[in-house]
Amino acid sequence: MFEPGRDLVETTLDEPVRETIMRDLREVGAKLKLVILPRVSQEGVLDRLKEWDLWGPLAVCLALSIVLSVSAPEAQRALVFAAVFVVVWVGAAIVTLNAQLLGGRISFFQSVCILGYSIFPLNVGALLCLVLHPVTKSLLLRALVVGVCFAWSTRVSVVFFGEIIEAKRRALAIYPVFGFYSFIAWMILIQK
Amino acid sequence: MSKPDDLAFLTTDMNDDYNEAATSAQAAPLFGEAEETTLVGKLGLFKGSRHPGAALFHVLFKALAVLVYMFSGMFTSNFVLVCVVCILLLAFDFWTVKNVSGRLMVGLRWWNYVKEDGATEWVFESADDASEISDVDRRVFWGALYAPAVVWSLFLLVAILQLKVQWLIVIAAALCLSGANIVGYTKCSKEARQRIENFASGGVAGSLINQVGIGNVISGIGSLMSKSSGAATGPQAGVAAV
Repeated sequence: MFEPGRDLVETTLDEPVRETIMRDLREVGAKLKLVILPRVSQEGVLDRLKEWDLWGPLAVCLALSIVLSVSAPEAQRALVFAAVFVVVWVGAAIVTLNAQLLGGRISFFQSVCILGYSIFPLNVGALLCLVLHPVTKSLLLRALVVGVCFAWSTRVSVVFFGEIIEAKRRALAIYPVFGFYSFIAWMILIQK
Repeated sequence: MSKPDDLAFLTTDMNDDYNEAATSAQAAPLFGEAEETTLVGKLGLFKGSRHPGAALFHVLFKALAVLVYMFSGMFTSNFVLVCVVCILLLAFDFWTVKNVSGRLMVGLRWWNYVKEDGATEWVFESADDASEISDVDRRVFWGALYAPAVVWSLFLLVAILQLKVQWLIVIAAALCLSGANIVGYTKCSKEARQRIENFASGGVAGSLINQVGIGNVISGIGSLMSKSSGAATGPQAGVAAV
């Protein structure tokens, strides 16, 4: 036989379409849960996140862009939407490239996937700020919400980047991760 | 996941398969009954296609994204709405092409996974029995894979000339997503061709391959591909997925 190992490979060529859709949806749900719920051990989390997809990041990014553009003044909506969208993708790409250049053993999309999913808590924060705005104008309260979400967002990514980069360069890789999330957090904070 | 018994990749009874395929192809017009069984087939769309449903969605999302991009300005000035709709349509299209229409229409599928050391391993699957693939499906698939990339490139040019900077987001998304599928399927079909060539040069059933027209199928696809030769893809890539 010309490829002896072939029949051991799990093939996906002839599965029903429904199965393909459900598998992807389950994957997205499972990953989102991993990012949101705090765990004692990060071991399984990182293994799970290695099977990357960009659906979660896309959904999270679109949701954040929409929430922030809704709270922006009428004339600036398109601009805000575009800016947030670009910042999320370009920012994730830059953070990833930085980690790769520092010698991180990570695939590009894997890293973008983790960074993208990790934005989700900030999404929740942005939505909360939008809802809270008519109730209270307190900047302190908003800063508190965004601060908690920021810490929540960075947790998974920082652990992940900490693990793939050797100790002496770790700070150099994690620093842009903080920069990335603080920029997004700042955009949420200044929304009217 | 299917059991190993169901796999199209099993090659133990290769010769029998090709004989059967060859005779049935001669006995009856190919793909006679399949097109009648689905809703899209009953509507008479994509005549001669084995998977009219897949063919419809393969074309539909692409066409809708282009149409929304071109004509939405007549109905709404809401950039955010149009942008989100376009990006979602493009994402659905990417998913459809990568996960459904490719494997149904041309028997190819590409995916990748990350190894322990962080390197990306590409896996290319291809159906061994290319006689299952309809000519219409193949033309629709490859045509609709390349055409949108050309259209979006034109949009890119227009957007730059008109300085419509915010629309570059949609165009960039379209080019990235369709580009990924083009690269994926190009590599995939190249590897499928290589697999067939290896098989043929092994001296087994070379004439049978020509008989059922696989040679033509593969070289037809291959000629489209040959311009953009990507990274080398060893024939062992599929096996490495075990």
